[in-house]
Amino acid sequence: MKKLLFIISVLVCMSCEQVINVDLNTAAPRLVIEASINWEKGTSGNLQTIKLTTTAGYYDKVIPKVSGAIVSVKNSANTVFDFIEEVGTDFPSGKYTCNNFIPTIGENYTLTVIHNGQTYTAQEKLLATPAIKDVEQQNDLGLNSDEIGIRVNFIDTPVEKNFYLFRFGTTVNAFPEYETIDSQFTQGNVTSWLYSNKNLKKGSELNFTLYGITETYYNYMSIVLSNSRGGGAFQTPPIKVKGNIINQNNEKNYALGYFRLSEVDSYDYTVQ
Amino acid sequence: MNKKFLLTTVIVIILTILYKLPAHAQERITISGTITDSKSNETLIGANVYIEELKTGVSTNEYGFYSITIPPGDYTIWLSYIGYQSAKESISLTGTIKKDFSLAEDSKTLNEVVITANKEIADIRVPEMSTNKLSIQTIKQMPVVMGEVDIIKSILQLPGVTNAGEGQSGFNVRGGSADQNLVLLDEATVYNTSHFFGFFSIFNSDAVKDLKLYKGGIPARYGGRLSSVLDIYQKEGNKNNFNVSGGIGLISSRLLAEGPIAKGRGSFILAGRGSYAHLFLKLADNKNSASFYDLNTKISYKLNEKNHIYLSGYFGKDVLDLNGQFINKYGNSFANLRWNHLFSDKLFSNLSLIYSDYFYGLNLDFLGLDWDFGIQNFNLKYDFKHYMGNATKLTYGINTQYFNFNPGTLKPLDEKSGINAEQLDKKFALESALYLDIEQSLSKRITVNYGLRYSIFQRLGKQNVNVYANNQAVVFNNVLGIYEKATPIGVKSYSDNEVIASFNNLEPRAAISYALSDDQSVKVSYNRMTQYLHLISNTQSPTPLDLWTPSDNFLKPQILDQVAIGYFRNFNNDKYSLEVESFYKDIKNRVDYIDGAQLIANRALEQVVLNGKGRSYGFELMVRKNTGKLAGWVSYTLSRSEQQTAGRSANETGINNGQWYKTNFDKLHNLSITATYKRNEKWSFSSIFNLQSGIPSNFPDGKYEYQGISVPSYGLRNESRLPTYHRLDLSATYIPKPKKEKGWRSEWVFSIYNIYNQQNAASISFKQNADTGVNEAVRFSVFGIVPGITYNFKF
Repeated sequence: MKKLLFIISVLVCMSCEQVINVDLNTAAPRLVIEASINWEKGTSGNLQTIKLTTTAGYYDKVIPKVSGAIVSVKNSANTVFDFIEEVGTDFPSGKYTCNNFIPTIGENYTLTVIHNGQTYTAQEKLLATPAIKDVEQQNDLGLNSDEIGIRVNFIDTPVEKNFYLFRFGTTVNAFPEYETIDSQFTQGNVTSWLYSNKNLKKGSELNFTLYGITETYYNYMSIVLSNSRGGGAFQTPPIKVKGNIINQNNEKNYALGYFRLSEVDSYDYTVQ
Repeated sequence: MNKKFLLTTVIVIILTILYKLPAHAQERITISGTITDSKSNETLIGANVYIEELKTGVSTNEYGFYSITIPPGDYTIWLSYIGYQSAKESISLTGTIKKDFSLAEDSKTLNEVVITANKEIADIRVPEMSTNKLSIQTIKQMPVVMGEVDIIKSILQLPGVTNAGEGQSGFNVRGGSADQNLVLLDEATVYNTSHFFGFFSIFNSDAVKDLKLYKGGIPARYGGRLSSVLDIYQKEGNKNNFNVSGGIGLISSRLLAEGPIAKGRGSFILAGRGSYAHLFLKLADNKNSASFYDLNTKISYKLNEKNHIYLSGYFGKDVLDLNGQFINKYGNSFANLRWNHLFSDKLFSNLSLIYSDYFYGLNLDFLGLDWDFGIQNFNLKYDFKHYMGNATKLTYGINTQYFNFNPGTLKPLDEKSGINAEQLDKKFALESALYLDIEQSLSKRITVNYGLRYSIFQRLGKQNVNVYANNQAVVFNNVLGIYEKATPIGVKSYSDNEVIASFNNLEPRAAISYALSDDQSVKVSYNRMTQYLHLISNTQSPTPLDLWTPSDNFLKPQILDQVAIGYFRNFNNDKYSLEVESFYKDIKNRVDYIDGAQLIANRALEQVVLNGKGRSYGFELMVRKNTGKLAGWVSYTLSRSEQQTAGRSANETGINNGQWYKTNFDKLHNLSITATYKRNEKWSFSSIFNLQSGIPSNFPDGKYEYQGISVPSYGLRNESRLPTYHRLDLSATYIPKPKKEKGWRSEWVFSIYNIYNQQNAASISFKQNADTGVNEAVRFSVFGIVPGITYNFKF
């Protein structure tokens, strides 16, 4: 539905976009915790990375990395998986790695990050993800029927209320694109998303990744994605958004980002 | 306010008036009738009848009827109406008579900008304030985008009226949201006023006779919306001659036929307008189309001196089809049967039976979804106007409306689609009201208008309604500090027509005018309004996808209290006039949405809405030059519009941290200058200049990286503002043969919108460049310079 509003916005503003300079204020830096545990189907899932950065000015070129934090994840049996800061040529990279993580579907995990004397925690469940069933290429999209799109299909897990995140990585976009999907209207059926990009052409390489996510993460990520698309007249205005990470010392000094755990399925495709 | 006390007070007042009247009535006679256009016999709404000797007068009602009760004697009666030659008639009245008048259109003033009907002394003395009338002539001359005459865009030039930006649908009155306007076309409610997502409005100006906008001091006969009433009447058609008129523009063409039926006892009008598909979007491929059409019809028939029947209808539709991947259709339609009956020369009645329908449908290829939404509305109204003498007028009536909302019919688009066919629970409601309005002169200086409306709203079955713990459909997550959907603890089933929720409200209205002299007055008004239907929308500005939904136990009716005070003055023999007003509005139960609420095809809207409050206040100034070669007005509004949704308990943060925040259409300053210059019989020129504060917006206060994308971070809502908006439009009207009275007559209207090509920001988006990944600020502007040409004809 967000895409729908986006389509209307594009229609209404025909070729009237211009990049301008806006003087912006910059708020004090805030810790950003990207704790995305992805368990690729068919792998052990032992190797996981958590990234710590801070916010920066909107136009800043560099994202500051956070070094010297203590990062760990613990399961419900109190087994602790330590995430150790990577030391390499690009130090500080803000990356904290664990190579003995044990993913279990349905298991509850707790994240703990200690930085600058503040303890941040979050709790989340690891969710299962259905496999991507197949993809279908369409060559007649767009206003002139000359755009390429790929419909990615999977089968929704029946009975329960499910939420999914799709990631579309392509060589034609400078950054990955995402969509959040819920299955309320396709319960137990083939559920799909039609990804299209006017720059796709024969030989373009794509990678589709599907993540099973919680409803809370679905709500969070939907706002993050809406914010990252910039808003517009027919879209919901961008707003402040906060994830599931709590500062145990000072509630107001919360961290951005999210602690999410998903089984994931990937699919590589080359445009025909 | 104590309802019993109010009701008792009102009853006492009415009884007092009714008791006092017969004593006077014995030595009084009544003169009544209709006032029409001399050429077409079309009735005139709001034409003034003024008795010079008594310094009293009355104006015609929505059907052109007037009635005035005075002592017998010799009188000079003045008749006046905007755009018409005033007439004077000496009359000797010995007994009650029926007298119809007709006025000739004044070709000299035809092209002058005159906007208030109740000119002259009546204007100063009537308690009616915060209202504006725009003549169709004025509207047709205003420069507009691509020459497409637009009623909604023209009222934006009035004080206190604005919208959320260029090309946006709807309008905002005195800081109220777009769904708070009651838009009536021949008494039928219009649910969506826009074509092409808001670029144009659905009203074909050729078929419109009259319009009036009430921003405050709203009479008790209107209800159901908080902020304003835009009351539009369609023409009845020429009762004397058969006429065809039309126009050819860049966007659409219009054709209108009108004429007498049954030897002048009745008349008909049929007006159609259609856009040229493909042209607007410049889409060469015929798989795409964008088009709209609308059709206005009306038949009026006079059964006899006491009975008159009107049948009117409107049908409009928009279709946007993008290569079959995205199809959006929407439209309003209504049919209305009205019966005017004169019980006596003092008691006028009108019975209306109205059916209106609004629907929209979407086909979304990327989701494989076919989705339809709709409202059906049956409305029965019985209104009375009682001309009691002593310049006392009672208006009373009842009205009941039945609503059938279809929140969504979902179907799979094709066999490949995984969408499960589903009918979301329909919603039914009954809204009824009883009202009384009294207009009375207390002395030569003081005129009052007061009334009361009693409204009842009932949500009816059949419906399955979710039941929640603590009756809260939205819960606050203390750990994360966010609002979330509550999980229902059960479902309660209601059978057909069983009452699910019921509300009733007393809505007092009052206005007083104190004439300081013959050409200046001070007026004060108060009105309470209740709104039971809400347009659910959390986008920056309204879209055609927003849906109307009725109040229930979770979505409470919105209630408004407004006070306004004004000073009115005419200068130099009414050459100039000045209107200064100030208002304060307070709104209870303003709808607000939890962060990230998804409203489209939402099965349980109650889980994403919270009831907040709103307030707005402002100062309005309007200076007009009414006559002369150069006429026009300057309107300036200084106002603020805010809303707040505080936490329901101490541990909840509320929306936006529970703080007041500016609404999406808050504009601190709003200046509009509209001018018309009539050079000669052939050429006239018109211009509009707008200068406004930019609308509130959210600018990021930083960015961060997450999952490989750059995400802007934001603070509290609407703390930033788009750049100041300004624009100048010009138009010229050329009439090749102005003296021609019969046969083919024509005119050309040339217009240039946004003449200095100002790239006004409709929005500024903060996002990554798709090719470089670098953060940018992208300004969207809707219209640069847009020339337009329209050819109008008549024969």
